[in-house]
Amino acid sequence: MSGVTRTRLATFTVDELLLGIVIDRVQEVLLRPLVTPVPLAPTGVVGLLNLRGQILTVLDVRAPLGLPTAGDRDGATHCVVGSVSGAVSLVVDRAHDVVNVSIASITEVPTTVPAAIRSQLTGVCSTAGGLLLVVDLDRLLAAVHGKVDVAEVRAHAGLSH
Amino acid sequence: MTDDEEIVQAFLEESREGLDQLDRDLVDLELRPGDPALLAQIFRTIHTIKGTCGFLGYHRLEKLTHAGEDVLGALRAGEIVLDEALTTSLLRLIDAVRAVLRSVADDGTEGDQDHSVVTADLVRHLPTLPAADPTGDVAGPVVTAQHVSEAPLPGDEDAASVTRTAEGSVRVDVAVLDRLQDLVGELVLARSQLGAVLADDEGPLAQPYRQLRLVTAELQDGVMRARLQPVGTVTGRLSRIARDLATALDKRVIVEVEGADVGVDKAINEALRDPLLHLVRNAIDHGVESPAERLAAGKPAHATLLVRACHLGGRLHVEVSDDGRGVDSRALAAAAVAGGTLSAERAAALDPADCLELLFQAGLSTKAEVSTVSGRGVGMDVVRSSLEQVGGSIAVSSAPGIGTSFRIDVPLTLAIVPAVVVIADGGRYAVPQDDVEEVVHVAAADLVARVDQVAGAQLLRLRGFLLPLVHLGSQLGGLAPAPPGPLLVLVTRSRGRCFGVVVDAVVDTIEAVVKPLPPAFRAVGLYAGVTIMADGHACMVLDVVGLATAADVEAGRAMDAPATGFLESVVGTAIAPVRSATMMDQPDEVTGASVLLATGTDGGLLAFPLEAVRRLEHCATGSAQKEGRLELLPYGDRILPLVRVTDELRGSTQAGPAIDHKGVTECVVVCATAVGLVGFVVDTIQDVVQRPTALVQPAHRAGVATRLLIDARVAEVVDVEALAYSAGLRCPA
Repeated sequence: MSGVTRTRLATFTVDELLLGIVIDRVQEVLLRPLVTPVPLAPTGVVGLLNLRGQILTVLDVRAPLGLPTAGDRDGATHCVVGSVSGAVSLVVDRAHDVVNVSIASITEVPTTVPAAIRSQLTGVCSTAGGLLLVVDLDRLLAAVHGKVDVAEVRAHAGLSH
Repeated sequence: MTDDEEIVQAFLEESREGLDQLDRDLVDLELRPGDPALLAQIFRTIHTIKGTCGFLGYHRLEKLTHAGEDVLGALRAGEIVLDEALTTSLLRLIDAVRAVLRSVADDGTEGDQDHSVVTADLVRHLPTLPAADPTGDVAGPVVTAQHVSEAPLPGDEDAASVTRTAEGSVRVDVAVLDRLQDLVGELVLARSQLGAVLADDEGPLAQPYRQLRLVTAELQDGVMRARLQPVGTVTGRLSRIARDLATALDKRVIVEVEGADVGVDKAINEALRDPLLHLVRNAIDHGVESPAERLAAGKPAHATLLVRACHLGGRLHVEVSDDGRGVDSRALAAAAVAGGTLSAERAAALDPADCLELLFQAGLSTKAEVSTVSGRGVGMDVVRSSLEQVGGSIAVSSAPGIGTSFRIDVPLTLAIVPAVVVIADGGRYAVPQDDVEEVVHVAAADLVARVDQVAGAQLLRLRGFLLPLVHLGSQLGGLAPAPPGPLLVLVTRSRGRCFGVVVDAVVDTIEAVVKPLPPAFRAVGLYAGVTIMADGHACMVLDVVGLATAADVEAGRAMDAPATGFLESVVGTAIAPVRSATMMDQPDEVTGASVLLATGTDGGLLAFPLEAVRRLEHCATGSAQKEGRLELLPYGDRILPLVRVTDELRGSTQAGPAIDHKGVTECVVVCATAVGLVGFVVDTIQDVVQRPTALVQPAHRAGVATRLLIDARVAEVVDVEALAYSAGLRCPA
């Protein structure tokens, strides 16, 4: 392959977990955005928020990671990422630095990590801040968006773009 | 490669527009055959298409258009005269070109249709027939064509101005406009926030802020307008369709289109297409008489069909009127009576305007024979419901012998919807104003008098109607409605369903810019979209139809709803969840009118035809006065005779000893009969269901019209007239 040996990850904490998302997929980090809760929304979907005229679906990443969901919390930090159905906003506890790690240092997820979490990860990487879990964003979104029909997602993507 | 594709795409779009223009111009030209300006414009359009075809290597198209150019050249030179046959040939050519363009759009090839018939048909009009060449590859008149296109001719000035306007417009991707609209929305939001900070500040910022406010308002309006499309893209096609139809039916029709440049949102334009087409077809097939008939009636042989569009009060009005024979309102009522949708007695009470409303009823036709034009499966009821889907309406007026006029009223855009902001279960929701008829406040003291509880469902008495109530908060998964307190009810009507939505508060009205619902929320079924409030919060826009479905509300049909004031008041209430009456193995049953289900005192299932039911009452029947066998109950300012259905069906002779009903409240179904209002006493009222007509069985006892199978139970459909008669009720002489 080409000479790409390093990757940049935006890091977040959710409970005790340190998560990393490939920086290319992260659009921006929002501090305390105004979230509108939506009654009867599927589990893991918290509500909606208005990002400069664009409506984003707010997802709680705790559910797919097997953590107890905290619901809508005022003052949460959000990480806006791109997806097939347009941008979505992930609720995290805190945003940290962007780290630059070598791809070689990302290793397979140890089998001791619970399967629910393991299936959402591409690998783990040891950093100064602790063990960084590299998130497989598409799988994570699929886990939350699980019940959403793929065709419908495409139709929507076509509609709004 | 992409560049090429872009060029082809642009060519296809331009050509399509050109062909639409040709349709209109040719129909015009037929009326004014000598008009040189029009001829020049037609020639120019077809020449442009031909030129581009050659450039892009579409030789089949080039040949086709070439043949057209030859004929038009001869027309301009005055060698031949345009007649109906030639116009038809030219229009057929346009259709052929359209077909090839479609094929190019589909798979990039010109297809393999044989156009020799079309070209031969055209060439046959030429004065000097060039040696019959079925491929249309005629060499001779090319010179003429070039000569014509190069020589400046009178009328070219007009054509030039058309081109100039074309140069003044730019094609913009809708996504770009959407983004602009989003950003303008944000700008308005930022402006409002700035305004809140500045408040009454008269400092140095006051003047620039006023300026900012003005500019943002204009910008918002401008961006909205940029999304509008001339309504002519839809109305313009009508003259061609009208011509084809009139020719087929041997009638003469001139279509006048006014206000073709009036702007309207693309989605609304699309929604207008089929209804307008249907109205024009109807007008020509039903409204316009044959030339002979018209002359006999002292009218010109040519009928005029006027399609007029204009902006009025922020909405688009389109009028389609003809000067034909008009609608016979009596015949319409008679057809409704014959079709069983209207009783003869009620038909007699209708005034002509009400009769015309019957046009919008499903399955009604006064035309005895079915023609190729009518009966295409789109009725006026569909026209009305499809317009209502985009928040529009349609009204009709007609004068016998003078003509018929349909008036359509639609919003300019679907993206901006006036909405009422309500609070329910702690959340804020927007309800489209089109769905809200009125807001009713019921004081706590009036609750008992105005709100009925029937089998767990709440009903509001509103000016003689019973309105089913739906608590928005509990529908949204909130807590059960609070103990009795004042009620705030939005009386909503959508697609013929009329019901009340109970909310905690009504806080504001807004012009909501509705954005599509993200996929994650579609399955909920209660939301139509999302809008952004002035404070920057996202706010769900409620889908009233979805709410009705979720709450299992089945209300009166559109015609029975209070706002129309049409027919008499009809109760259309949902009592308990609405089920559909089905037979076990036949889910796709044919459904008929609705029936009200009730149980008799012996537990038997009774069904009342809903069109006969006026009100549902809980009455203290003990206060009824006995008059022989009859029980008479004071009811408002009249006397309501009571019929105990179970006893009456069992046969009056077996009627047991009178039970003391004193102090007991009983369920009474008040029905309209030939002898006036009659109260039918039943044990409980259950439900309103669609009546499956396919499952009708003959009755086995007097007073029962038919039997139905509903959820595997047999229901007897009460014959209210027969039962009233057998109870001894007679018409006053």
